[in-house]
Amino acid sequence: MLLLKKKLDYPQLVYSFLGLLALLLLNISEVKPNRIAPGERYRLYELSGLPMMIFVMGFLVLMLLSYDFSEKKAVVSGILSAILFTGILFVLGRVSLEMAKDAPTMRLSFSAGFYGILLMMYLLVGHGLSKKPRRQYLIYMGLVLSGAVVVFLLSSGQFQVFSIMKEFENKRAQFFTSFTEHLFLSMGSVLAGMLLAVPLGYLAYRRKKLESFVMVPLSILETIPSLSLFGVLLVPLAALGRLPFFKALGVSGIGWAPAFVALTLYTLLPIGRNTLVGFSTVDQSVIEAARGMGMNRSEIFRRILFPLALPIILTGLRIAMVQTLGGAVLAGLVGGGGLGSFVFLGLAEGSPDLVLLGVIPIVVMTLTLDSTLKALVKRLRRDEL
Amino acid sequence: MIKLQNVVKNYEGYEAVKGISLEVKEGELYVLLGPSGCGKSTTLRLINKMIDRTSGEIFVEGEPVDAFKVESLRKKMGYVIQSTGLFPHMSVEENIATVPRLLKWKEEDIRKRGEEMLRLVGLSPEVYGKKLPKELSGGEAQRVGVARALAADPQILLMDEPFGAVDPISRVRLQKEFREIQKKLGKTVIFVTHDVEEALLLADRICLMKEGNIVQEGTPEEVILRPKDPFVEDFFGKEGTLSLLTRFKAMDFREEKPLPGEPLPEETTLKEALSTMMLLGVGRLPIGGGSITLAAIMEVIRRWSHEEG
Amino acid sequence: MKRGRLYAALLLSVLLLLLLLFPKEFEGFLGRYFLSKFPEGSRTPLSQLFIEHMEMVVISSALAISSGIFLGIFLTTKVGAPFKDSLLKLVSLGQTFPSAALLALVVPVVGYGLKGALIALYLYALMPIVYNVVVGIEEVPESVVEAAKGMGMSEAEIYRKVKIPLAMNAILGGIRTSTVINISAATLAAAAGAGGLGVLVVNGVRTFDMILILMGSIPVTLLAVIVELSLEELQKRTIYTQ
Repeated sequence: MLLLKKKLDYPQLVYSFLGLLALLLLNISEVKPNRIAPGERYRLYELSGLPMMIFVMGFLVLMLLSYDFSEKKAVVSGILSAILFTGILFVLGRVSLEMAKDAPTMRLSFSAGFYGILLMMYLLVGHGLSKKPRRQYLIYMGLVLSGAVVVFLLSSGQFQVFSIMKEFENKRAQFFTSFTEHLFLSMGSVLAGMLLAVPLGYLAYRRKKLESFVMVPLSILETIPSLSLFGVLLVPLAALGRLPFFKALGVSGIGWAPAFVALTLYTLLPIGRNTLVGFSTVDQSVIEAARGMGMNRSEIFRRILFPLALPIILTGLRIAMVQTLGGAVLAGLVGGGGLGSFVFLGLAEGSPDLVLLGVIPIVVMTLTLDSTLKALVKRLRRDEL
Repeated sequence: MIKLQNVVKNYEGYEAVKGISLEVKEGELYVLLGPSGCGKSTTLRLINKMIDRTSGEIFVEGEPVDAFKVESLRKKMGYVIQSTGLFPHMSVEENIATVPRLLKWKEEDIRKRGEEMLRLVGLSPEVYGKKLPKELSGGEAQRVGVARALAADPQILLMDEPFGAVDPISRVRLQKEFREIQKKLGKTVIFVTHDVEEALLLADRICLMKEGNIVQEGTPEEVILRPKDPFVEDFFGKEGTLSLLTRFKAMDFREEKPLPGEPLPEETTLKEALSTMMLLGVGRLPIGGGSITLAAIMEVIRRWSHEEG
Repeated sequence: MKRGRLYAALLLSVLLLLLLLFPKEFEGFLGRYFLSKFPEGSRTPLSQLFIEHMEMVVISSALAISSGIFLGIFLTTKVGAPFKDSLLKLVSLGQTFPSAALLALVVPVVGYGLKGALIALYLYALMPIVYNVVVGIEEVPESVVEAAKGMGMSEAEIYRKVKIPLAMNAILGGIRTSTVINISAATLAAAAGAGGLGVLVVNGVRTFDMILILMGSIPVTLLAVIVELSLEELQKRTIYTQ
């Protein structure tokens, strides 16, 4: 083995090397003359010359950075990865526009190589961040800037030949409808869940005897497969939907109702359990002191118990939200709308692009809400200490 | 038995051990003593290569430590740490049997040895054998730790503040019992502590360290009565001489003259005897068929001062 | 009642067995309360669907458990530790994907039917296991590892005799979570062309047939609860600290 004076950072080396391999050896995209006909697969160097060289050099630089990997190099690696990926997207966009000049129904979809590079980029950025460099925010800035560039390119039509964009254009209105449906369904269920589960959790905290009585059914609920719960609610809700009051609300066997009820039921466990735990971890001596000061029960709740339990309750809320955003996908199977309709449509038609149209917004929403709530909880905890 | 030559240990930007040399004789109880951060624990852990030294040589039983595979080296030494590190998922018996099992002893021998070790540390095998570590008190856990370290009959024991987490009463008892065990078995022990009393009770020789260097090395008497450095004086404090008295048994200095009254226990140290005399306001107390006098105690101190001074 | 869980699991297993052995009676029982659009006895036998379902779950979970434990252990060793942070980030990302989405992404690419479903289920089951193995091993107290090292145990011996036994609680927890989720996710595999009890549920949902839904859902739920209870019981036996 080479006698190196300083250490090699193996993850950096491995990830960038694999990324390079993906770039060189794997098919990066598939070009189809229209939606149905099969297409040709291409490697990137078959599609472009000079940019390819630049990308290869980019990966080589990333590999070189693995020697004596420092905090500074971590930042450089993170930013470079983001730029590199954006560049590849850009080049693919230009190439596709060129090719589409002669064949307007043509579309370009991504192949293994593209996803391989995307995966390696994610790992590289994650690795760079894990070193916790002092200038960590620079990596985030790099990511945000790249994102902004991508959005700009998107809106200026650079990516219009991509198959996923073509599907999007086809189903534009439906997409936005589904998106809002999904959002409302998820947020609504979580809200309803909070209204039910927080008082339940508090009740379980106040009366020890009720604890199992409350928690055990909720745990059992959690093990029921989601689709089954949706299904089991179909007929009762259909029956309920015959009553005029509920019919007016739109309650019926299909539509939003079964999904809403099922999703709400699923949020009860994480929110309820975390509420119980949150209250339980408040030190009894603190409550003693408060009582000794002359506070009555509602004051203690408002000023002491609830604020101290809040971080854990919010964590339960976060878990419920992530769970619900994902679970709401199944609403697509029972006619409840939401992004799940794209997912299942894509599954039925064998079109990964449709599936991605459904999945990407969900992942983005999940990641955003997850990190926001995580940061909120962290901030609350810091204030507490 | 164990020799260190100019051993240095540097961490990034920090010198923990700055080139120390020492030699521990066979059968000796050698104490590394010093304030927190002086490098005593680091030195200990360099011997069984839990930490790798930056430079210098270490010899065990005449051979350089690098000549052994590190696992074989460690199996030759017992290692006892403050938090015991008893395996929570194994019973007391199984904990003790660990190294013999690694060395592939016969099961029958392992079982016998386990019972022997438990009895050695004062625990009944029938009562304690199948207990889990979480069922043991601090003192009991430490005893098991010692039994486990001695199970494979190593010649050398490395101990890092083993009794530090035990309550003061149990600690004194453990110290006294351990000294007996060590004398009986003749093991070479390197013992790390920051507790002066403990060091004086146990040590054949003390090595006082400060900031990675050895300040003074010698018998407790040498170190206390002939300090080479103001640091040494300050470390033992003005009661150093009194503390030395714990090393001696009143039984060894008694006169044949019997005295009526409640005799002192046989293990009474000179310090405890002196303390009792002060309490009762007398100059003579009965012990073991004879009696111990204040004069005799003072004679002991005077003799050292004259011999050493 | 210390053995409560175990007895409950046994009871439910018996119930499940009965349902599988006597599907006609099961159907008849349900038929008393709900109307069905299909004539009795025209569906795929319940036991066959159950076996298909079990096959999917057992194969994907077994693969996930073995490779997950292997990978998790690797990430705690000296060689694997640098990869830990980035790979765990990937694993957490994967867990934000709803199982339906993963299925819908993998299957069109790999192929419909059993193979695609197995790959998707495998990937989804892998994540909780890797995560729990890593966390479990890292939670083993420093002093215990120190003592083991000082006794002369080699790296492999330390893993075998100390780290893994002490991490068992967390590892079993991960296996439990993973398997129960897998059982649920396998019902969706029916939408991707694989078999299993999900076929009944999916068809039942499409045709509003309560009996179909229940005939599919009840066995699956029973299975999930049985696995959950049994593994939880097993887990309780591996807690060694206060």
